[in-house]
Amino acid sequence: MKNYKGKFFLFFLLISQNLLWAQQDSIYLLKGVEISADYRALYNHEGLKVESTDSVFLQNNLNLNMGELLSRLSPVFIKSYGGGSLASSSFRGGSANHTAVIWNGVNLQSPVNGMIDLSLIPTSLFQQISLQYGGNSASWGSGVIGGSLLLESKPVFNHKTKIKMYVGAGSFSQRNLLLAAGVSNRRISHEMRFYGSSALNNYTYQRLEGDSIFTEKLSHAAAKQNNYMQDTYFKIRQNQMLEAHLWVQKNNRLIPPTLYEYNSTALQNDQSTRLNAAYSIYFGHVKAVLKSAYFNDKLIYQDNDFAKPSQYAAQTSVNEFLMSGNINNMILSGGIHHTYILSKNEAFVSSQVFQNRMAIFSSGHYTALNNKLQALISLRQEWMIKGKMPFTYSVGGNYLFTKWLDLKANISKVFRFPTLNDMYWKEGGNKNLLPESGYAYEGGIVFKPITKVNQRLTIEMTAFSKIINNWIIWLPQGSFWSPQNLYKVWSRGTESNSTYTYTSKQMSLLLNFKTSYVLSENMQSQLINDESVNKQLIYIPLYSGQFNWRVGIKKFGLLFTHSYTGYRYTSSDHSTYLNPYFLHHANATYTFSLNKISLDLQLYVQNILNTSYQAISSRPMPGRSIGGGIVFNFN
Amino acid sequence: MKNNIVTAVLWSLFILSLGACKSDKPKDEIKPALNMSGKHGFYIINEGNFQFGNASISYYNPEDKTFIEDIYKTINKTGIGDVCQSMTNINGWYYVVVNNSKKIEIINPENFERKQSITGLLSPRYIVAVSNAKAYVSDFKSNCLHIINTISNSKQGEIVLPGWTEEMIVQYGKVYVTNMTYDKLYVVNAANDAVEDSLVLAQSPGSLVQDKEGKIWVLCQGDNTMGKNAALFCINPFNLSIEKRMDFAANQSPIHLRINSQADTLYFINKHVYRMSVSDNSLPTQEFINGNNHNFYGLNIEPKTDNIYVADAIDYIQKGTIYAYNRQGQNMFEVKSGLIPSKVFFERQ
Repeated sequence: MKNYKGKFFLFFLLISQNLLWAQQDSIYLLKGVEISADYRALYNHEGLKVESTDSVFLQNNLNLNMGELLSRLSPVFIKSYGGGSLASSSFRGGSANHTAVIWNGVNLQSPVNGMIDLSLIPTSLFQQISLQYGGNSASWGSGVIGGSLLLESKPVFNHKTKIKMYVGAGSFSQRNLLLAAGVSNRRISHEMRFYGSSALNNYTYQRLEGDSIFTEKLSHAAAKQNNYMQDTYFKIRQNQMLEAHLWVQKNNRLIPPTLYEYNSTALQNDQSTRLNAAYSIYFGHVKAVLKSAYFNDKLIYQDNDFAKPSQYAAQTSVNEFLMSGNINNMILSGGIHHTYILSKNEAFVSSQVFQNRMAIFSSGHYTALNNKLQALISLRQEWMIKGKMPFTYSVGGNYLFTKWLDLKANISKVFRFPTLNDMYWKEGGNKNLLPESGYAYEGGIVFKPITKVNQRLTIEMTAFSKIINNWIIWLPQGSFWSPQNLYKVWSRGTESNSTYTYTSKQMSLLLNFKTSYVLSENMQSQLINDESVNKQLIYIPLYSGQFNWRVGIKKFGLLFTHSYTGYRYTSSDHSTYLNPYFLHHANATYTFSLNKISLDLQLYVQNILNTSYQAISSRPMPGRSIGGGIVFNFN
Repeated sequence: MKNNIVTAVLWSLFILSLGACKSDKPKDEIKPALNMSGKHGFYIINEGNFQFGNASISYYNPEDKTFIEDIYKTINKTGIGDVCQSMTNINGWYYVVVNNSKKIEIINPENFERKQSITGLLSPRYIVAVSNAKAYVSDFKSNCLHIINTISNSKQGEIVLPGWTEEMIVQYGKVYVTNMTYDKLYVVNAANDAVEDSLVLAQSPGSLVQDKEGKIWVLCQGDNTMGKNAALFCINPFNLSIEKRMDFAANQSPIHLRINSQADTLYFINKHVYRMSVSDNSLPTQEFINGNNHNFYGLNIEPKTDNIYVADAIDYIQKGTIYAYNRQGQNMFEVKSGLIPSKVFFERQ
């Protein structure tokens, strides 16, 4: 460890010097300077698989939350507890704590429980949604192990006013409303968005009891969400920009009973205020960014069978200083990070606990061989508690072999700190936990058999392998549960992503086909008679696949998504499992446009075949639902 | 030419990447034919995972090694429900309390067929017969004991008792009730259903037994979050006084106090299985059965033989194991159970 640190400081020093030299150098270009303050979103994924979400799909599915989006368009397994209920994720065989959600350069994973509820993130609030597969702790720190979801806003400085409205309604009393307005001039870009949704989720489902099938209706499942978001960009001068993002959300929902409970009296409120600001300045050719974010999260859970609600509040403040600059074909960057977390929870050892995390990081991005090679080295040293200082790094590259063949490879050291719950839970919390850590390897081939102007076929094939040591598991110690660094999990698999597009004056066609094969097994146990060793972890499908296609003919659009999720075990010895499900969804759109105004009429059918299924045991999922909406656009 | 080869290789790779050769279809186990052979077998109460509805009752006869993993489902065609908590013989019927299904199933011991259910409970835990026609049911959430008419098998009333009531025993018309929320043992008069008295012990009394002299032993689990240690008490029920108190060290959480058929030897789990004589005045320091690399979750002593049955829940998300030991602590056999085995119930009482 000491040796690592020494080398790291040397490297950091080197970079600082390079940056000084860079100031005198004037023949380079910082790409994308106006797009993102954070260089990491732009460069720090060489060798990793990156996908951005189809904007046409998003426009036609403004009522979806992030969990629903990922379950339709990606191999990420969404552990959904039902319509409107909690949705956590498993990305490449990882736990829910291994999926990062990065909002304009700041990780939203809860420091309290390590995860994020994807059902609480509406997709319609963001201008760009992309998915980075694989671990990237060297860029973003703790918890970025399976993959990350990048949510970004983009400024426009075009003197235009734009307005967007969406009103939608559907089965199970679903109501959706999106109001968005943006104004900009040469220096200011300001956009505000409100998204609200509510649903009773009183869908019918089938329950098997012996040989008889009972059709029942879900009760006590109503959910309501309200979100307000604004993105403001201000060019103070030609070389200085200030940006501020605000996201306030309030979610109320009733927790429905499971298949085996007669009723439920539980309810949950989630409230968050998130502020994320950055100041960027260019000194000649070096960019310096000062970032500051503050999150205030509150969760109240109440079961009326008990008198007392349980609740927690967490305040997180993140401060970062980033610098980046080019010399010839190199981009050198680095930064300092600090996170302060203060959490109040009556279940903790003391009524409030706090945590400081520090990190320094840097990376070198190199372009060579006529832009055919893009390579990246990143390093990060993290500090939390004495003795627990993960040093991580990542090496990756893309090589454009020919114009139809691109090769990728990446090796990353990844880690995750134990959560506050893991460490400070009154009964069982374990302060001696080590961070989960390990190595992730991946290699990919991007093959483009057709590269015509109006017709393209791209096939990306990826193989990955990742071993995580000190995987944290909660197990009982007498009458209470306690987390321990018990498992060693080896996840490996293959993925494919093929896209065919065809465009002509009359029509556009897109076909997208994804497959995923994930083996994720715990390799060790200290328990006698433990039959879980070398078996697939629970709730991770071995196989999954998605096929999406859309066709646009003049003003008419049709969009279909088909997704398959294979068997999932629900016990670690594989004695119980859930059946696979194949779901089909369809959307149709017709667009009227007049000058600056356009009006979309949308209709959808979800779960067309009314398939009865469960993603999580004993939590029934919705059957067929229909709905529609109107989108008004003024540009 | 070279490009063609590369292209061909890439296409084949693509085809390969679409699938893999490992089958994901789980293998369903073959269920053995039902053969309840007599009176020498035992039932294993498997709690199952909370809210998963996968509780079960297994049956095993060590004599002919008959094993039925889920006897209730085998006979009655439906699962027993969510979190199977306890099983008690009342008037020749098995009363099975299913905690999160909020019900008690009444089962015919001859063929294990379900006779009827008692519903209208909130979070039932244990049932104890207090007379020929009446039983009490303890409850985790409802702040009361439910009064059950065991002739009509329906709820006929409540006795208000604050907190989480747990195990109970009956002695001379008095019912001694443990309470996990507080630090008291309650005494209820079974004749008039009135709470007569209470005795302050240590935090979270959970299990209790009666020894050969009629003394009542109560194991209090303690509560580490409140910094309250566990303790074992010997109580004289005649004047409701504490005769012995033995304190555990900090951060220990002993569970499941049990007693042998002569009612002179106590057993409990505190990570390992410990035993002690009722004449002892201090806690045993040496374990009787080592629990390292196990997650001991349940403990029962067979009345006729004094054999010791320990339930190991392993990682709580796979089938557990029941270990059987003789009086000397020698392992006799082990048998797989369902998910989260917590109790063993013997055919011979």
